[in-house]
Amino acid sequence: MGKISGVAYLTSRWIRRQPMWLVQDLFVVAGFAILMFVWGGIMGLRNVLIAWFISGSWGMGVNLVAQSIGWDKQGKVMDMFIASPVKPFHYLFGYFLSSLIFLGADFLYMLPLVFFLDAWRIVLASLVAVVPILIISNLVGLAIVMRIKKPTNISALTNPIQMMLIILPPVFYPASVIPEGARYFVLLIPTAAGAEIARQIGGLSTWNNLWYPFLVLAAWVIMGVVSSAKVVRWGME
Amino acid sequence: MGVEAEHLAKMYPNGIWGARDVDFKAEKSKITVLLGPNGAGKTTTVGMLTTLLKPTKGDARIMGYSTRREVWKVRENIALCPQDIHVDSNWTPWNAIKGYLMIRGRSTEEIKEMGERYLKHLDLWEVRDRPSIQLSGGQRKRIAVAMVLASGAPVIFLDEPTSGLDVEGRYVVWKSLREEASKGKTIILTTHDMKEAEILGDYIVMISKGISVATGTPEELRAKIPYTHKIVVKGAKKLPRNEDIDLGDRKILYVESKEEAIELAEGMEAMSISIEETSLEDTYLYIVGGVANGKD
Repeated sequence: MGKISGVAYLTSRWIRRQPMWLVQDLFVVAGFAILMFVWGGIMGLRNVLIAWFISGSWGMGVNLVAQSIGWDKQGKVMDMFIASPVKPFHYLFGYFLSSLIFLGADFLYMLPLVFFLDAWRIVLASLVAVVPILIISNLVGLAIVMRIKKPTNISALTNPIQMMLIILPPVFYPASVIPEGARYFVLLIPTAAGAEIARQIGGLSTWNNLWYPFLVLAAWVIMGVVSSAKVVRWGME
Repeated sequence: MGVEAEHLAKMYPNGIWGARDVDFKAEKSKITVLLGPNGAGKTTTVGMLTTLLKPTKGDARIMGYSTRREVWKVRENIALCPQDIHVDSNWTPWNAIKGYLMIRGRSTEEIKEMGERYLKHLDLWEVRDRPSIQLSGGQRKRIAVAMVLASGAPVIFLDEPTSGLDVEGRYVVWKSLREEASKGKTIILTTHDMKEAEILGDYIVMISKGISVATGTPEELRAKIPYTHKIVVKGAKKLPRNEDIDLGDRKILYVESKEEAIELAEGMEAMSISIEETSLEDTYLYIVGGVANGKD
């Protein structure tokens, strides 16, 4: 446990110097709540809760964890960790825990809305989707950062991926608005599949087909494990 | 024995040999210096000893554990300060040492005690709460040195820990390393600075082109060359014999005794002539030159 908490302690130090990141998140949460309420009323607000959970958990892996590991590789801090009793699990789980600060902060910002809407069912439904999304995003982020030659350039890759998979597909809007034939295609995107799971369990979807997005996420988990296992090396290269 | 490297060799995937045959032993309570120019294979050797790299040939034992077969046992016994380490700009010296000691399984009390002791040793106590981005390059490097020295690991590797440090910073690190060695730790340090190797090293491993070409104490190594003195001649107009090293307007001639040096110098015409005792640098040039020319 000391190894995981040590990694989490070291990798969460940014918060001391960059608390504005958390403030930025507050404005994003508040801004989207207003936007969705103006266009979609109470239903818009209920949907934005799901979108926050999905975008927060996806961004945590692909963006935050991947970028941080990239910097560790570049700055040789990772070599210090490898040449120590720290195992890959301690390292990754430590990073994972320290990155939960963002999800935790987002959840705190959402709380007034959750109470106002009495939307606990939506929160629980979102958490069901958050678990596989977190796993997939961390594996995808890991597979990317271990593959690229200059890890500090990773944000040039992960930021567009983050935006493309959050803004474009049905995360902030329901997949049910897409024609059924195309819907199967769009739901191959993990963020869209996660959002659809949360909507269906949370009672916000007009479509009843839970097995398909679950199957998609299961396939993504398998692909994530395979692709990251091929590139992740903990020394002995 | 702290470290035993047995004919280590490493070929990178691009087909280039990072090390060809590195063989040495490093005792406990001693500082062993891997000495050689840039590209000699020092960092590759440290990489293999610290399990970052898998040797293509050979093996090494750290506290008796094989770096090939007992990787996790090895990792429990080592700490590494990599070359060109950049500690996170958000870490303060205190954060860095606290987090690293948490990783190494130290208790809260030990962290407080060791943290204070090593930050004071490395002259970082006054700036312990400043983020490293506000510190000088030398102070940031000393953070990494403090982390590994405080780790409690019995074998400590430092890859060029003093490169880029000013004179004061270098002496602070040297003093700390000597103290750690006196406590029974095995310290392996790489450098290309002959003076540093001579001052700091109990035992020196000279590496050239991926091969450990000579090993021994500084005194033993100096005794490997048949010369005791050298004559450095600036602006030479007339030399009684050919120089051993030609540096353009400066020539170096090696001699077997001080008397021979004085006698030879009397027959020279030059802007300036100085007679000096041979150093580790001369030994290195002699040995490496000899090996390169197939004489050894």
